[in-house]
Amino acid sequence: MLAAAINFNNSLVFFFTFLMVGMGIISMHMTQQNLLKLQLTIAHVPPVFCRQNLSLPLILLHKKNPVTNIDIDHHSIAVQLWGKDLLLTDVFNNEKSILQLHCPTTQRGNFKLPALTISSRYPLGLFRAWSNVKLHCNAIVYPGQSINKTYQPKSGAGSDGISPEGRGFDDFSGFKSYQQGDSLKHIHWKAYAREQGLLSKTFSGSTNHEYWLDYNELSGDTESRLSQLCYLIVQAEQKGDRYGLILSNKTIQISQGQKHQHQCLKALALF
Amino acid sequence: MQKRRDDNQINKLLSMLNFSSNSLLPIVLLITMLPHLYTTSVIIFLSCVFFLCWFFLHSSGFIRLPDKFLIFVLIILSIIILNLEYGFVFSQKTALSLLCIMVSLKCLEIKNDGDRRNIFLIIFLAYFILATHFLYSQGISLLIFVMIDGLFLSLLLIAFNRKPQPLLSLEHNFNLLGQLFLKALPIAIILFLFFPRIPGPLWSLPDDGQTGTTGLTDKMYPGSVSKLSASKEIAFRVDFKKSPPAADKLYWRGPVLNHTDGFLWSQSPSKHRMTKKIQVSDINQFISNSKQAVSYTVTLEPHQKQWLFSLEMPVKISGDTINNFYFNHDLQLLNKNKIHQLTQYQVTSMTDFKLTSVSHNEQLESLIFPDKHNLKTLSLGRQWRKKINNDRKIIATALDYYRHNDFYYTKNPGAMTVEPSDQFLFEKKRGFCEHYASSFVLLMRAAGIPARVVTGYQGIEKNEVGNYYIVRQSNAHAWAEVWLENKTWIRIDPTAVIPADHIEADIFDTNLERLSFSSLNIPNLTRLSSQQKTALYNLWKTVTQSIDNLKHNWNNWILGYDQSKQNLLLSLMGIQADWQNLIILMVSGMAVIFITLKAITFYKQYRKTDKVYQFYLTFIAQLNHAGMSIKLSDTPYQIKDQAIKTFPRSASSIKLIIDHYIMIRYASQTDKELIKDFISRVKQLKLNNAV
Repeated sequence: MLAAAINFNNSLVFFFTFLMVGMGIISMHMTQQNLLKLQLTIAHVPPVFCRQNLSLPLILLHKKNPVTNIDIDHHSIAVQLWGKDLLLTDVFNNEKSILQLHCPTTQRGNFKLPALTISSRYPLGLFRAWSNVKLHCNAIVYPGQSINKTYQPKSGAGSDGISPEGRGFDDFSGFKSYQQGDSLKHIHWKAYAREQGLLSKTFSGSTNHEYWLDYNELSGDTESRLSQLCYLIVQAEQKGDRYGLILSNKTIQISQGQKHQHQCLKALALF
Repeated sequence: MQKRRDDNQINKLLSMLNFSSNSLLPIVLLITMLPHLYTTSVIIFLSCVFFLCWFFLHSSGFIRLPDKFLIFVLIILSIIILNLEYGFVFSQKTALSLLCIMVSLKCLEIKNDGDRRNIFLIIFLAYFILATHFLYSQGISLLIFVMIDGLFLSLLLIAFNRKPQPLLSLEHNFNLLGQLFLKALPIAIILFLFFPRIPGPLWSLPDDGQTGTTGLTDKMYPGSVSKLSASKEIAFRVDFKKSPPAADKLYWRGPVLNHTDGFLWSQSPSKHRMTKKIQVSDINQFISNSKQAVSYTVTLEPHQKQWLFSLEMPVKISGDTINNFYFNHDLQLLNKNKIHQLTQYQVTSMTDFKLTSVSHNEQLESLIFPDKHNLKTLSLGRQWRKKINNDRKIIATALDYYRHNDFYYTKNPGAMTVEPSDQFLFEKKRGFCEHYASSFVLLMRAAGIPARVVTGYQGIEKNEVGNYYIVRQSNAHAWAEVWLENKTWIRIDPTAVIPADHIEADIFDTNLERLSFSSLNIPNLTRLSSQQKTALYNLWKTVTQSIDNLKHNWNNWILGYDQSKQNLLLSLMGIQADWQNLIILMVSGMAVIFITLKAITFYKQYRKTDKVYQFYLTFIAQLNHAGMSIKLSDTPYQIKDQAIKTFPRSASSIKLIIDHYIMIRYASQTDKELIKDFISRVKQLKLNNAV
C-alpha cells in the first residue's frame, strides 16, 4: 500500500495507509492492555486418584487499581494447558470468570500444575499477546487403586488397647457429639430441635469391623502397596468399617468418615 | 417493557450478525470492489459476483464449495477472461481486475469459521482494494465511501477474530472501533505530514485507455470546441502570486494544430514531433524580448493527456507530481506521463514575448493548403497576396474582412460539413472560435503566410470567496499563430475583432451562470422583483463559490500535500531537510523514541523491584549458589519445599523467610516490622550444606 502511495504520489492513499498503520499500532497496544492486570487463581481442587482427570477451577479476575479505580474489561482471553485445546472467556470488571481446566494425573502426591499459557488476540487479531503463568495449586493426587481381596487386616480391638464400642448401623447404643463426616441420617434431629446441639446417634452391630491397615503386611513394591492400601481404605469407608492406617513413618488412629478417609489417602499420596 | 423489547430486537440482530458474518463477508467484499467493477467490463463484474454468490449460498447452507480441481479450473477460466479483456498488456486496470477476481475466488477456499489465514488474507486484500480507488478519484465523497466500507471491513475482522465466541454487543464494537480510529488518527496525521515524500514513480505501468473526460482533444473540426462551451466542468484552477494579467494575455496554450485536410485539424504527424524534445531550460532560445512575468500555481484536474496548460509563454516550471516535463516542437508544455490524478505545478510565464521558430520545416508545414477544398478561401487569400505585398497589411485586411462583413460570434452556428471554410466565410458568417481560427489560418496560408491553429483555454473566472481563479471547459478556445517577417510567431485571435453587438448573448460565462441559475427551478422566480432576483443570484453565487472554494482547499492542502509543502512545513518548524535527510531523521527519531521508551520501562521495572523483592532475589541467589537450581518462575511454595528438602538444617529459617515473604506480598495489610524482620533474616541466613 505504501509502495502504491509513493509510486502514484497519491495523498489519500498515503493517508489511508497511515491510518491502517496507526490502527495496527493501537490494536497492538490494546492487545497487550487486554492481558494486563489479570489475576489468576486456582480455587479448591477436589482430590482425585492417580490417572484420573483433575479438574481445576481457574478463576480470572480483573485486578483493580485501588487509586484510579477504572473499569476495565478483558475480552477473549484464551487459556491453554500445554497440549490441550484453547479455552476462551471474557472477564468483565468486578466479575469472576471461572474456567474448568482438566488435567490428567500421572503421579501421586502434591499435584504440580504445568505452566498455563494465557493469551489474547483481541481486538483485531493482528497481534497475539501471551504469557506463561505458573500457578500454585493445593491439589492432592491419591495413588491409583489396585484391587486386593486377599488381605486380612488385623482386628483393631487387640492392637492398641483402644476398644470403644464398635460403631455400626444395627443397634442403637447412644449419642455422641456430631463430627464432620457423620452421616446425616444418624443426626438426632429431635435433640437439635430442642437446641441441644447436633448429636449423632451411635450404633453397635455385629457387622461392624474395626481394624488396622498395615503397609508392612502387604507385598509388592512401594507403589503397589500404596495402591492396594488406597483400594482397601476406599472399600472400608464404603462398608462403613472403622479403620486405622500404619505406614512406615506415620500412624493414623482408627476412625471413620470422609475426613478420616481423606487424611489416610493424603498420607498415602505424600508417602 | 418497551426497553426490553428493544433489547430483544437488538439481541436478535446481533445473533443474526454473528451467525452471518460469513454471509456478510461476500456482501461487504462486493461493495468494496464496486467502484472498480463499475468501470470494468460486464464479464469481469459478473465473474466476481458469481464467485461471491457461490460463497454466499454456501455460507447460507445451500450448496457446497468447489473442490481443489474445480477451483483450479475456475482460476484458469478467470485468467482466460482477463486475457480476452485486456490482452497481454499488464496495466493498472488489469492488475486491479485480477486482484478483484482472485479475492472473490479466494472466498471459495475458506474451509470453515476457524480458517483465520484465508479470511484475514481476504480482508487485508480488501483494504488494499479500497485504497486503490483513490488512484482514480480523490473526491471527498469517495473518501466517505472508503471510510464507511473500511468500518464494515474492520467490524468483520473483529467478528472473525472473536470466533468461536459470540459477538459482543454492537455498541461495544462501535465503541471499540471509534477508540481505534480516534487513537490512530493522530498517528496517521503525523505520518502524513512528516513521512518523507519521495519524488517520482518507483515503477510505471503502461497507460491504460482510461475513459476520457470531456475536455480538449488534439483534433479540431467545426463544432468540436463549441460543443465544449456548454460544459461547466472545471479544467483547472489557478492561484496567481500577485494579480492576474490583463484579459488579452489570458491565453492558456494547449495542442498546436498544424495539419489539415480542410475539415479536420490535427497535430503534425507524430514522427516529426517525437524527435524533438525541448527542455524547459532551453526555452529561452526560442523566446525573445520576454517581459511581464507572471507567477502562478495551476491545480490541474485529471484529463488523461500529457498536456500541462500554462499561460503563453512559460519559462519556468516546477512541481512534485509532474516529472520530466518538456516542450514539443510546437512549444506546447507536456508531462512525460499522462495526467491521471489531480496535479499541481508552479509556473512563471512571460506574457509579452516573441516566439522564434523551432525549425524551418515547421514553417513549410504551416504553408500547406489542402488540395481541392475550400477553393473560394484559397482564391480570396491569393487575391490579397496579389494586391498587397506586406504580410502585416494582409493580416489587417483579413481581420477587417471579419469585422466589416457582418460576421457573428455564436455558439450555435449550425453544422458545416462540406468545405467548412468556404461555407463559413461566404455563406453562414456565423461561427464559434474554431470556425474563425481555421478559416483565418487557411486564408493566411492561401496568401503565403505560414499560419497554424492553437487550441487551449482563454480567460478566467474569479472565485471571490477563495480569491483564486477557475478555468472551465467552457473557456476552451482556438486561435491562430502567424509567422511574421521571418522572425516571429504572432498570436492573432480573429474572434477578438468581432464587434460587441455581433456577439450573441449565449457566449458570456455570466449568461451561462444565469442560465444554470434559472434552471434551479426556484418557484415564483418570475414574480420576484429584479432587485430581489439580483440579491438571490448573488447569494447563489456566493454559495456555489464557497463550495468550490472548499474543493479547492481540499485539492490544495490535502490532495496536493507534496514534497514542497512538506518542506514548507518543516522549514516553518525550523528544519531544513530534503527527503533523503528526512528518512535519516525519521529513522533516527524512531530509534531515539524506541530507546527512550525502553529506558523508561526498564527504569520503572527497576523502581518496582522494591527492597523486599531484591532481598527475595538475594535469597534465591543464595540458594542457587549453594547448589540448587531455582527458577524465578517457581512459586514461593515450591521453593520452600525444595529448599527445606535440600537444607533440612536451615528448615526453620527458610520456612520463616518464605512465610514472611508470602505474608508481605499477599496479606491485605503489611507490617513494617515484618519487612524488617524478613530482610534481617535473609541477611543472617546461613545455609548448611551438610545434610
